[in-house]
Amino acid sequence: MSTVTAPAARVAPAKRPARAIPKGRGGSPVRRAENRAAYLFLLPWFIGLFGITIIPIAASLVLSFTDFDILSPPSWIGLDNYEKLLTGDRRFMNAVDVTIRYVGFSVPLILVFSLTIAVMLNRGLSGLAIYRSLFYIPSLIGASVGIGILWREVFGERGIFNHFIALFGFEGRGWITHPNYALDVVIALNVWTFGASMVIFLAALRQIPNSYYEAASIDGASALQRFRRITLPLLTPVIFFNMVLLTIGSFQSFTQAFVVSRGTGGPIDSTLLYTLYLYQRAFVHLDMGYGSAMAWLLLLAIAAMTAFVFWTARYWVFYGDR
Amino acid sequence: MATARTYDPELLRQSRMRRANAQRLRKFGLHLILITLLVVMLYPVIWMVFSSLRPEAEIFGGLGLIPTTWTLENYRTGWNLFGDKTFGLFFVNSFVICALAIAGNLISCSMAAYAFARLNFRFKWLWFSLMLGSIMLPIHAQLIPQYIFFLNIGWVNTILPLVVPKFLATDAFFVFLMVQFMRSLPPELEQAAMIDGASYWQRYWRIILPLTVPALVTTAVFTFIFTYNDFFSQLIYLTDIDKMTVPVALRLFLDPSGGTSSFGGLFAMVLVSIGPVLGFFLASQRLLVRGIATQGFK
Amino acid sequence: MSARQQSGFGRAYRQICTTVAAAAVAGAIGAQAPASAQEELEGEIRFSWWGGQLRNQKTDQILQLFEEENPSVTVVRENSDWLPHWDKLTIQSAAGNQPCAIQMQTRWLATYAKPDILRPLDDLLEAGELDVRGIAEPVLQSSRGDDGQLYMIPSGVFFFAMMYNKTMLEEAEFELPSDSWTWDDFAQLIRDIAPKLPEGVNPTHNMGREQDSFVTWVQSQGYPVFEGTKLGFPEEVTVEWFEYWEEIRKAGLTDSPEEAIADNGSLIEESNIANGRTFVTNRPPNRLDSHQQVMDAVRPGDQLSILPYPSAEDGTTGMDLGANGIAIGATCPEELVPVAVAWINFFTQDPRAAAIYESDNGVVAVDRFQDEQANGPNTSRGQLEQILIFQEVAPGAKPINWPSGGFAAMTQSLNQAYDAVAFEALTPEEAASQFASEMDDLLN
Repeated sequence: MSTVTAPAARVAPAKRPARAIPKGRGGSPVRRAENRAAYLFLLPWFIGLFGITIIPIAASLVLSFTDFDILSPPSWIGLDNYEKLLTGDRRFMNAVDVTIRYVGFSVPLILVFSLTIAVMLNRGLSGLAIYRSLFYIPSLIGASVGIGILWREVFGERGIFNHFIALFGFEGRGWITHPNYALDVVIALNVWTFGASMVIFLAALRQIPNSYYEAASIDGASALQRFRRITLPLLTPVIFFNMVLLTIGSFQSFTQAFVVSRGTGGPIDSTLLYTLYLYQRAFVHLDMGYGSAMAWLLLLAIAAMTAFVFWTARYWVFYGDR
Repeated sequence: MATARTYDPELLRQSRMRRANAQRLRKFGLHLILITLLVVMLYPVIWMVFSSLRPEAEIFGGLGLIPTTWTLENYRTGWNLFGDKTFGLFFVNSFVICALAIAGNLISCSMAAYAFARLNFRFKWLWFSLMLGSIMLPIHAQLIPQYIFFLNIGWVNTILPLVVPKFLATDAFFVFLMVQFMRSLPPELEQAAMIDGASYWQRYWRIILPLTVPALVTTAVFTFIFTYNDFFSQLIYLTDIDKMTVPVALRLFLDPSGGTSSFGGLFAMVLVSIGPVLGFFLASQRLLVRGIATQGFK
Repeated sequence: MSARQQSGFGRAYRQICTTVAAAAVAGAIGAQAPASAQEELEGEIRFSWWGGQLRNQKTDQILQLFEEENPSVTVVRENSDWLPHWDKLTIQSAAGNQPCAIQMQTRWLATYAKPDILRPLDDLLEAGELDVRGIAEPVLQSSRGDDGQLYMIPSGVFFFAMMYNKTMLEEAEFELPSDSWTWDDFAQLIRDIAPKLPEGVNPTHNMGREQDSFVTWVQSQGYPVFEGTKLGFPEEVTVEWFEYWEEIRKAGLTDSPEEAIADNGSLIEESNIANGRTFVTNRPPNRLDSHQQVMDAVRPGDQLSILPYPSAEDGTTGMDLGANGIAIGATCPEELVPVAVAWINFFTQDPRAAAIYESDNGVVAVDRFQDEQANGPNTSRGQLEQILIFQEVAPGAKPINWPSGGFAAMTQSLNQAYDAVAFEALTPEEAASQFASEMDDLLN
């Protein structure tokens, strides 16, 4: 998009030279050398992919067409699992709904929150390292076993949150165990652990050369202009990265809801995230074939969504190499 | 700007002071916002700190935030969780796995990322999609085939299933992360080296890697934390108590099956266990600053 | 504790001791002591169990004794807490890598009771290698799978009862209900005592979503909970259960629906009963001591106690009974089976083991140890009460024949259905039919 690329061109005025690597046919020696080098660099990854990663993935695809209770051999049932999921499973539909709401709120909130704090912490403020570490603490204990207790201390019926709103005359309730609010608490827990995205933003901010800002200062740009014209465009690859991975990760969120609802996804399935339902089906009710089918439906949905985000990226993500 | 064109030294001094005051006020305001935010965010953690310092019996029952009796007893009982197997052992077990995982991810993911980010090759699009696709399938659907695979090659109850995959770039998260950082480096960087006749390996090792230090540090930090907290794989692959790791040990304090729990011990050990992670994080932040300072281009 | 109570306990004590002793004699005559294997055992076996820190320490202590006695034997400890224990076992079983000795529970047994997952134990029992002296026949019976084979040796028996605040009862000047009280008596007691309870105390925990209480209700109406893999009772029974609790809830006599969910399955330290916020609730009776410990710190002087569930008008009781025990993995090599057998015998039959374990996971299954523990100088009040009530209700108990996955399905479906009623999203009729269809879906 021109608004993004134009200012970037101004701060890095050197004209991009002609493509260093000629886009020759596959037969050109340079091209062949590059091809070979690439595959050599990817060698460990290939070994990992074909030696380790792809085996369980392929197995789960096969299992999704079977009736498999884990403890006895699977039997082939074709598309039955998929058919049941898409036509006759009330809880599945509910889980999809809950998950979409969860992702829809979590991802934008985390992005905005972590970027804001990262930018605030990138200034020459004293005690920066300490601030960063403190903001990161929630992410460190977010998956820990005691976290459910801590959240009950905050949002439970006798929690601090109710004491706080009582000061303003509001009546409290057990937020964690009320079907209308439990999902909000789970989302809050997810947003609370925004530290990972913040750290990635901070690393990206560090990578922006100071010379860009100096050049802009000489041009008389204000702080806001500098943020909009330098920081933001140069951060787009990392914003994109965080967005893609937060989306993929949030669709597969498990621990947050598991911890808050003690593994039930309750009350009345209000926190039944997709993977929590998958886990219940596969490991509590031992219906691994069904669970595998759920996993593959989720993969298709995430893949489609990621492909869409990738497609939009060409309009708003700015890379140094283009 | 108007002030910049003024030659009156008194006016210039005043304007500078005004600006300095405004700056100080802004910084003060910023600190205030950050601290307020921190107190709200960290309240549960603060509660946990105080709870770990009071007698076990006083943790629940709404006796206020600040303990009336202070004690380190929880730290002692927590540390000696399981007879002669102390938390010291679990820490060592965890650290060994973390160190190997970090080494593995740094090497293998950066290599794969270099290829994806800076080289052109056939089927690149296909391989990249496969890489991203591999993190889209929920882990629960893969656990059993994966376990059977590792059992058949004799790796169960060793740290190999937790460590070897890291040397094979199976953490697509980090490959993608480094791809994004490497792609944002200008292409001119490598061209000069190429004219000098540098090999692809030299370009990767001498030019791109040093410029990707922030991403590498981030990868190290995250690998540490993800591995350190990876409860489930460690639970099923390291079943022997001598090989038990910190997250698995932390689960033993509570007994949801109706037995007696030790909250004080749990809180104490959760706090002790985030110590190393915080230390690692702080150190890495310093590294991050140094990494930028020694960066080649200005 | 008043002197009167003490003497009451003392009387009950002696009574129990005589009956228990008689039973022990009968048991000893019935089953001859196994031939003590003299050849030295050797090898390494894995033993997996669930539990928190305290139970781990006890188990480890017993294992150390066992290893001392069998110097060529090593037991690899595989411990985890409740849920991971089952997840891990499932994954291990899928790969054929289950431990030689596995802690089991009757509620989950049907899922794993297959000859290629667990080793049927009948041959070992007949050969006199496994020692089941003093284990009551119904308890042993509940350790069998659908195919009739024995799959685990019970070590601790658990049952269900109500837990109440005795001090509050006494201060309100009420009498303990008689042995054969009914569900209506219970509702009446709650209504009557409510105004006399301290400020802010819930007269009762809302047990509408509690699986333990519900199955007791079902069985006290004379129905089995399951017939094979189908529910054994009509929908009206569920509707009446929901209506029973809705009436009490709407009268303001229970905790709020949110609070009831939070309190269901809460850890002891967080629970309302132990913190003096509820007069009566359903909690595992074998946890009376742990609850009392918390109460001693929070409300010194208050005393908790347990009492059996109400029965139907005609006196039918409906209590479920279950057991924890040890099973042998089907993939355990034949040469290690004797080691696993020796460990099971040691854990269940050795007096030192029983003394260390102190009925930590259910009343010790072997009757002579029940007697010993009831009379022991260090026996706590909670442990004593637990054993006394157990002896009282065990004869009338109806152990449920849980089908594979039945327990998980029941817990989840009942929670969901009753929550929907309590939050007024469904009527009791709608919820009961949802419950039935959900159970059907999960079990078939």
